Amino acid sequence: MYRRLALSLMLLWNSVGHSAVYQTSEEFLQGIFGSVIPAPKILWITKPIKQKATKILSHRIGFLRTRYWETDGGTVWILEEIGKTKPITVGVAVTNGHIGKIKVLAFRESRGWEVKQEFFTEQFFQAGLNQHLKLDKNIDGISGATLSVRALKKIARLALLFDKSLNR
Amino acid sequence: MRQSNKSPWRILYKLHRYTGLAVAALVIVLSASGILLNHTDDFNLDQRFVDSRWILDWYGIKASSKFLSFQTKRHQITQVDDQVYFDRAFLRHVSRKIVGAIETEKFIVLAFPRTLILMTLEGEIIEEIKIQELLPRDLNSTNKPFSIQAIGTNQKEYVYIIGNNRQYSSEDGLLSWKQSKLQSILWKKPASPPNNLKTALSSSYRSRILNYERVLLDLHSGRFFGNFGVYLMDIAGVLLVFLALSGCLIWIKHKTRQLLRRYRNKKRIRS
Repeated sequence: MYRRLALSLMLLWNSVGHSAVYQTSEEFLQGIFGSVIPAPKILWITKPIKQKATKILSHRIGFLRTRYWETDGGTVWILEEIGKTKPITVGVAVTNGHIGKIKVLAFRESRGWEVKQEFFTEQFFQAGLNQHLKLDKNIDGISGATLSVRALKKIARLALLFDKSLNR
Repeated sequence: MRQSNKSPWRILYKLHRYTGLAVAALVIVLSASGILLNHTDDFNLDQRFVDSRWILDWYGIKASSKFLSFQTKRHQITQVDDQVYFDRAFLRHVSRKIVGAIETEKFIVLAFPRTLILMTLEGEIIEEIKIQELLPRDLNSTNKPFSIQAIGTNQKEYVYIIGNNRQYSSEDGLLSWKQSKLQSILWKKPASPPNNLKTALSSSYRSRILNYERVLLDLHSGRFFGNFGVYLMDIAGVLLVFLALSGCLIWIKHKTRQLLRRYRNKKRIRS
């Protein structure tokens, strides 16, 4: 009986959704840089970047400049993309043109929260961007979280594109 | 042999026929709305809004009278409920009340309690800045979440904000902030929008509330016609089950009769 009750509570918990901030941007940056976070730098979204970003997002990019933080041989980006109706905030660390770390910082939708789990985000490790602006690594989807998975893939591709655009 | 009009099979035939005719329209509505709902993302039905006046009236969606507007040098920034407009153009949905809007020679800044939106003079968004994460940490050390209370500018066109009773300034297009104690700042105050703008925005506001997905869901469930529609769809569901069962029974009856006839014919030929 207790098992049945526990299962019911678990299903109820899943059905109410997981709209939450899991980690602030500052905490994410502290996880990478330690307590002293360097000042952010600015990337202006020029026309060629805009065209590629539009191709990745399948819609117009909604800003003309974005901030990033520089690491040894890499960059850190905090980007947002809408899953179904609300934005998912994701922190992405890019090292030598490949994803070093990706973490869902805030998830506001009622479904698809499974993308925050490490078993899913770990798949992005060492993924790069090929000439068709796609990830050079296969990312397995999650049933019932198609749109959130799609949003995360887009963010990963966008971070890699932005990193590549810096021509460091 | 011809069946009598009161035979149970004859009654079942008639019921099947007339039930089919009765639910035909509802089946078309259910199927069409169901197919469209299956492709909500493909057709962007949740992003497209209904602007038909009679549907909006049917839903009881009224024009808002809550306007919060700020006049900049050349533009009018207006919030109507949760929608923000740049002159007459829809900008975005927001969850908080606009605090102010200023315009310099190079850009426009919209201030909300937790965010600043930096825009070009043509109304294109340059960056959305979550202010708490960008203020210097020593200036942002209070436990209370930072909340912008006012935005202003001075003759040098620097941007000033007040938050948590402290004043900060940015001299480089909102890239960095420092605490400031300057006095001669022109803080933005709300201004009533012109009547023609109010009329245009009221109409635009109404046509940005109800999306096609909502209407299709309501048509599919019958809720579009209130409680009556829901019961009607319930009845349609029951009748569809009846149609399926009666259809199967009729088919079984015909098939059995057909098989029997074939069997008898074969037997007759053999004999």
